[in-house]
Amino acid sequence: MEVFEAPDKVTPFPHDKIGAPVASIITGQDTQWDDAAATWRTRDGKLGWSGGKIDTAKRTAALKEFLATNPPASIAKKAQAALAETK
Amino acid sequence: MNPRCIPVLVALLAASLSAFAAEPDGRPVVLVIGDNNASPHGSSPGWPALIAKANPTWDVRSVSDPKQTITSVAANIDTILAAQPPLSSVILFLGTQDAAAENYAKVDAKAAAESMSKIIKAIKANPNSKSATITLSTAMPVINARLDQWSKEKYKDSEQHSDAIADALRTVATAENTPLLDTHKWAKDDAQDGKAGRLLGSIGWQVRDWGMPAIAAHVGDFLKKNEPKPLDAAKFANWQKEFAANQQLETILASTSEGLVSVTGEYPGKLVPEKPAYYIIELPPELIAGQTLNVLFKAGDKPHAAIGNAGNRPFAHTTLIVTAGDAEAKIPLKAADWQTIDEATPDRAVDASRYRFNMQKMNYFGIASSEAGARRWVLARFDLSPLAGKKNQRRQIQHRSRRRHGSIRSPRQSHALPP
Repeated sequence: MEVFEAPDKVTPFPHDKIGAPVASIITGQDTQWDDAAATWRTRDGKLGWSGGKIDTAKRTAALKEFLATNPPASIAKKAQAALAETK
Repeated sequence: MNPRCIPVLVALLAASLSAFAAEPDGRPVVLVIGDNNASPHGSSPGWPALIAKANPTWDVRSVSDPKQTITSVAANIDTILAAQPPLSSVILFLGTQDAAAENYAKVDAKAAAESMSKIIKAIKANPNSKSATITLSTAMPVINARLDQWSKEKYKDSEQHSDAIADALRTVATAENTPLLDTHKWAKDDAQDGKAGRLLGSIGWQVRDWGMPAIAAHVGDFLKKNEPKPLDAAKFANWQKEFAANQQLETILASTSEGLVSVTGEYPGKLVPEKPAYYIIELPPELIAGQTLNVLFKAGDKPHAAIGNAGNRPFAHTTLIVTAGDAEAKIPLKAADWQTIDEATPDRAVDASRYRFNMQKMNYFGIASSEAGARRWVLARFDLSPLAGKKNQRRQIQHRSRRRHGSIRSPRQSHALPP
């Protein structure tokens, strides 16, 4: 059940703690985040975010293994691009 | 309205129409023909868009309009179908406007039923939809107990009219041998908060943005039980193979990183001296060459920053401003285009369209936080289609965060619908 709260009962947000925002541009497949399902851990409720510190050796090995499975051409192209960026 | 904004609005409409005509990719195409209650509402996409997101294996398309009635669709059904690819499923979600429109006195349930029969017959006869499963939904009910006094007087007898239309549509479903999705009954039988009927809109029958997820779940569950079938099994199998490979690749990329949002650059907001409530973030032009600009907002010089659109209240307005010479295009950040992600509740989706700031107005904004252990970031998406074809533009994000009565109020979790 949805519960409504009178506007005058909202906890005031201390204005002296509100300041300037900082913007960063979201890149790669992370741009496909779902505006209803994204969480801190996932971008659509299922798939994780791909940024932050990258484990280059682990990613390179995993991408090579993935390419060896002969994925469809469009996906292989994305994997090749990711591999090139990882090096 | 600033006259320079008019071309922007026109361009947005053109873009949405062209997107609608996208070529089918092998997935079963589900067409929703709906009225106000299937249309984008307030700050939320309509439920067809929510179903599309939740079910990527269906190609969900919507021909919905706030003023669309059973009669108006009957008059245009051939034109609507001619613009579609071969369809696997059609959902008819009409009838609210017929019962609750201002000219309620003209409502004729028998005429509505005849028009609906005409629509179904046209769908069965059209080459694009002759093999489609047709689902007939009864309309959201008008519920007198949910109306305020003004609405009761204005929409006199609307509950009876809406009941009569629902009964007529049930009869049509039986006569045409069409699966029935009895939305009218589903909404009317519910009484979760002690009043008659399910609360999906503040005045009864009109679904508001915060009611769209419930409708999406209601229709989506029905569709799952009646899984739309692809018309070309081989093409769909190829699509599935590509989809699965893409998921696999993205899982690899996510599992070999720290698992944070992948971003580039850091553009701090600068206070505008002549406008103390404004922050400007200037962006290099090359960043907005594509269809969308995806931005991650964090708090900067202070522990928090407010991002979003606070409607007509002077709390927070975030706007992408694109300038080219003297011309200026403003792209406001709509509530359905941003969302917060919260380190303190890492698995919880905080959907911007589920925020309700107060009971009278739909005001939305999110609070970014840089507090250690409770970081909250705001993901935002600006649709750049209005800028297509324009060159030599200067871009900046203007962010206004004005204080009122010495405080700024945060969105309240108590107003969120349950996930």
